[in-house]
Amino acid sequence: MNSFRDIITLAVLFMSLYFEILLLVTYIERRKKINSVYSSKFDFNDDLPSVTIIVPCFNEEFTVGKTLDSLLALEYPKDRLKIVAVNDGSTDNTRYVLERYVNNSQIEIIYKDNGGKHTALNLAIKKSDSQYIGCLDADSYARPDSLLRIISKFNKPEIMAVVPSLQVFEPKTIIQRMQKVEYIIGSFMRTILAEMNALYVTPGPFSIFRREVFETIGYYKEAHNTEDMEMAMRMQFNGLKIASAHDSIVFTSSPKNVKTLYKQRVRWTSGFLNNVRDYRSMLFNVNYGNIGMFVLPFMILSAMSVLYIVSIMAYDIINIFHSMYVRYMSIGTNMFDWSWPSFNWFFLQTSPLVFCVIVAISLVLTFIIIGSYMSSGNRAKILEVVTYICLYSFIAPLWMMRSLYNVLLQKKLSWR
Amino acid sequence: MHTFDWKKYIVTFIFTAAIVVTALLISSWINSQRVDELRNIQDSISINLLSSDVQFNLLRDAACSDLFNSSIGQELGNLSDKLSYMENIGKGNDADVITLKKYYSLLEIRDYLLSNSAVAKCPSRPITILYFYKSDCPDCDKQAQVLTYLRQRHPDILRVYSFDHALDVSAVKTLANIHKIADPFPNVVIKGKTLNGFHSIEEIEKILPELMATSTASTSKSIPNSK
Repeated sequence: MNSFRDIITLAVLFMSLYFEILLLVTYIERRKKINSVYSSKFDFNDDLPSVTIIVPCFNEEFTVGKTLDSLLALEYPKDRLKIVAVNDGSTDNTRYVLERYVNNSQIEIIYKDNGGKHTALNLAIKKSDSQYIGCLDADSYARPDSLLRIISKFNKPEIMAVVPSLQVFEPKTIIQRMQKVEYIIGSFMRTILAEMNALYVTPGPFSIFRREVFETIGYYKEAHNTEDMEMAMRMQFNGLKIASAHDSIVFTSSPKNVKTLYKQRVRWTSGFLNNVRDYRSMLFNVNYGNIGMFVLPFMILSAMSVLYIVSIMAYDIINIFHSMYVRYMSIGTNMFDWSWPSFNWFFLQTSPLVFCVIVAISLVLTFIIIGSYMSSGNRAKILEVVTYICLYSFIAPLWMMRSLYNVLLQKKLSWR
Repeated sequence: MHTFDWKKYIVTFIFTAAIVVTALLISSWINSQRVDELRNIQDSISINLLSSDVQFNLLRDAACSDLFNSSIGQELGNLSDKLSYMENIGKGNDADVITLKKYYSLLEIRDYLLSNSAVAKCPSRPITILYFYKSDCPDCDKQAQVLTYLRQRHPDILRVYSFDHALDVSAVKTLANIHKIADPFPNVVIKGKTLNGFHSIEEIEKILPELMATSTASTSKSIPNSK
């Protein structure tokens, strides 16, 4: 290690390795508890609490029907499950799709002027008298046993919300297959963060809350278009516990191409950074335990380190092009007289950074394997994992950079 | 409600530090293996050179093919590639690498002198080019590309001896003085003439028409360099 640049890069790698090892240590420590899922069998008897699932819709004509059908197919007593679809001023045919369900006694349909997702949720929460209230985005589909599995997680009075395991619905494009792997890792990570009481998001698809949550800390806020992150952070701020039901599978539609993925992720990342700024009093505050002392500061630091990694990658790429240019200027088209180099261990890249990257990637692979088996849902195929590892690190910096730019310059984002 | 488990964070730190320290140790061990490999190559070249030298002095009638066996040229080229790789990965200032570079320069001069002393006996001996470079010299990168290309194209008839002008070796300084090496760099010595600045493939081939004559043949079969 002989340059300042190598030392900074090693520090960034140390930080990522530290986070990965912390996740692994927590998993090993809690593996028995994590793996003993859904042990309590529910009879369809009086024990089951009443639940309201809200489906906020804004121009979801192609998916909302399937979303409602998945809710109607839930294994849950029909008299205890109410579904409220809120048409938030859609301008497409969402209204006509919803009208098909008007005679279903389980479903209530509310029409309102467009005011944003949080207004649709709040309107339905205020009308609900159920013991548990949840939301399912109108592009997501719950597996029939998912609600029972989530409700079984509320087995301790201090658990105030439970998040499911999200998986990509029918991945087709390369970008969707990449996200499939990303969601498996995300699901593993959320399970571990829940064990550390450090979840910072209660995802729009099928997070379920005790109604006291809203009575105690209030309703959803606009929250930089990421009301699900703000709600989780507000719960953490007020010491309300969020658990994870990784065996409760919910499928969600994912962006098909880089452009839509970029837009979605800029919204998520900017929203995360803005919400952390709003709750900055939690940062490095020992009263907020793992989330305040480690998880949130780490997330911010890793967003910042992306700037550094991108700049050194850009520097390296410019250097490669420059040396190719020098080679072309010196020997002209002879540079294309190229033969396969014979293998020689001497020229293998053996900097300590390479070994750290190998360990970091191995840990990511371990998480993918554990995540795949934990949720018993979609298993990742080898090609999808390779796509994720090769593609994600190149395109994630795009939205990270843009989000940092937005947050630093206070740019406003639209929902879509 | 929130708890912070210091113990777990310390254990994680120990694991992470152990991984990073192991990575540093493995990397440093491989680098020491690299230096050992360079030493082995130098030893082998040194023995080959000594052997040629002894043959030349004692037997007088040694065949030119023995005196200029191409393995010395290839091994010098091999060593040169490996030393420049060490420079590229930032090990150029390591004491071990600097010593090896000095030793390499001396081997080059020895091979060059042997080649010169056999002018009368072996007229078709390899062509030699002396190349003097400096760090922070943009044209030196280009010149190195040209000379590497020519050396790879004519492995049997061309030997390129490269010298870091800044290297603190009196023999290199003397050689530089003899050939009046001066700015602007790079300096290339061909057929006893010192050329300043960058020279392209075409310019060098113009000075050395022997290369032009063999360029097509050399790709298909090697050219013997004996009488």
